[in-house]
Amino acid sequence: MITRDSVQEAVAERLDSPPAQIPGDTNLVQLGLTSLDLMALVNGWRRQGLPVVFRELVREPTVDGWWRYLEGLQDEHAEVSP
Amino acid sequence: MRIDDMYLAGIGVYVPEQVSTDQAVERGWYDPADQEASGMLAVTVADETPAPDMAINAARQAIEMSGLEVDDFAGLFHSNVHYQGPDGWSAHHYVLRKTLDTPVPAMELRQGCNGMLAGIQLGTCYLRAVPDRTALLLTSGDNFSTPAVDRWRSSKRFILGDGGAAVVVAKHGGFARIVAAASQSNPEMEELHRGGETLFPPGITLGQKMDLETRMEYWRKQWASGVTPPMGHMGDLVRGAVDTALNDAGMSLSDITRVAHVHFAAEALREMYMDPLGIDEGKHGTWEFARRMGHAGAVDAVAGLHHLWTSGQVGEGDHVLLLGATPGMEAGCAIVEILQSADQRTEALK
Repeated sequence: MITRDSVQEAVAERLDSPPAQIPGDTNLVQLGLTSLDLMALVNGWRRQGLPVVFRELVREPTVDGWWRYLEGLQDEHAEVSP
Repeated sequence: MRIDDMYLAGIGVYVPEQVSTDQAVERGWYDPADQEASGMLAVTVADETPAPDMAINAARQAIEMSGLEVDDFAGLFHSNVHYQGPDGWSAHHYVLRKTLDTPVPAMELRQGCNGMLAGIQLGTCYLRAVPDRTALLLTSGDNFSTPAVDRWRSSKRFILGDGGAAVVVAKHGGFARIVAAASQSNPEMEELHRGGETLFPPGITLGQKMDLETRMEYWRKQWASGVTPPMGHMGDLVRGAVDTALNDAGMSLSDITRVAHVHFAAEALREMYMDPLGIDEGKHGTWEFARRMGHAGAVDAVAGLHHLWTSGQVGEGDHVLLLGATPGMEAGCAIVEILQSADQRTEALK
C-alpha cells in the first residue's frame, strides 16, 4: 500500500534530505531530482504492484502531484483487482 | 523476430589495457563522488590504437574461429559511435581490406551502442534474402581517446571505454544459435540527446565536444522551470524489446541464464536496464566484467558474451540475453543459445 507519507519518504531518500524539508507543491527538479531518480522511484512503485506510467510523473514533478496520480491509480487498481 | 536458422560461428574481442578509476581520480580526470556512485573500477584505454584496428584484431579472431573460407562471406557490417579516421574515408572498407579482402559489400551500420545487435537482425535478413549467402562479418571498434570527448565526464551514467568486437553470423552452425532478436524505440526521446543544441552547423564542425551531461543538464533546467522534457523510462523500452524477443522465442525470463548488457555505471545500469527486467546484475549480468571495461559503444554486449563463454560461465544449453541501447532512444536485444562450451570446443579441436 502506497501512502502519501511513503511517497514523501521515498522522494526524500532520493534527494538525501529530511522528508519535512520537501514542501508538497515544490518542483522536485529544483530540489535536485534527476530523471534517473524518477526511474528508480517508478521501479519501486511498480515493484509494489502499481502500473505507474513514467510520463504521468514527468508532467508534474511535485509530491502533491505524484500523490494525486498514485492515489488515483491505486484506487483504480483496487477496483479491478480481486 | 524468431531466428533459429542463424548461428554465431566465431567471436573475437580486443580489450586494451585498463586505467583504474583510482588513478583517474588521483590525476584529477574523474571526480571522487562520481567514482563512488558509479561503482566503476577501471576502463580500457586504447591510447593511439586506431578504432578500426581494434575491430580488425577482433574480426581476425572471429574469422579464424569460424573455420569459414573467405568466399563464404557475403558482406561486412561495421558499427561504431565515435570517429574512426579521416573524414570522408570508409573505415568499413578498411576493415574489409584488412580482414576478408574480398569484393563483397562493406557498410557502416550506425545505430549507436546497439549497432552490433541491430547487425544481428539486419544480417539475418541479409543472409536469408539470397540462398547462396552463407556468412556475414559484424565488427565494431571505438577509441574515445580523442579531443572530441572526455571519456570520464561526458556522462554521469557511464565512463567510456575503448575496444573492438566481432562476430561471424552464419547459416550452417556455430558455437551458439541465434534464437530471437527484437528492438523497441521511442522516437519522441530523440530530442533528449540534442539537449538544446542546434542541428546546423553540427557541433563537431565548430570544435564542440560531445558532452551528454551538459545536454542532460539543459533538460533538467527546462524541467525545473515547468517545461515537460521529452523523457521516457529507458526500462520500458528494454522491457518491450526483451518481452518481444522472449515471446517470439516461446521463452520466459527464467529461461535466460545470463545477460550480457551495456556497460553502464552501477545505478544507471540497475534502474534503466536490470531492475525493469527483475534481474540482479551482480548474479546474472556481466557487471564484474563491465565495471573493469567501461562503456565501449556497440562493443559491450559482444564483449560480455565473449567473457561469459571463454571464462566458462556459460556452456551448452545456456541461453544468453544480449542487451543494447542507443540514443533515439531504442533498446535492442538478441537471445542466443550456447551449443558448445569453450572447453568442449577446445576438446573438439584436439
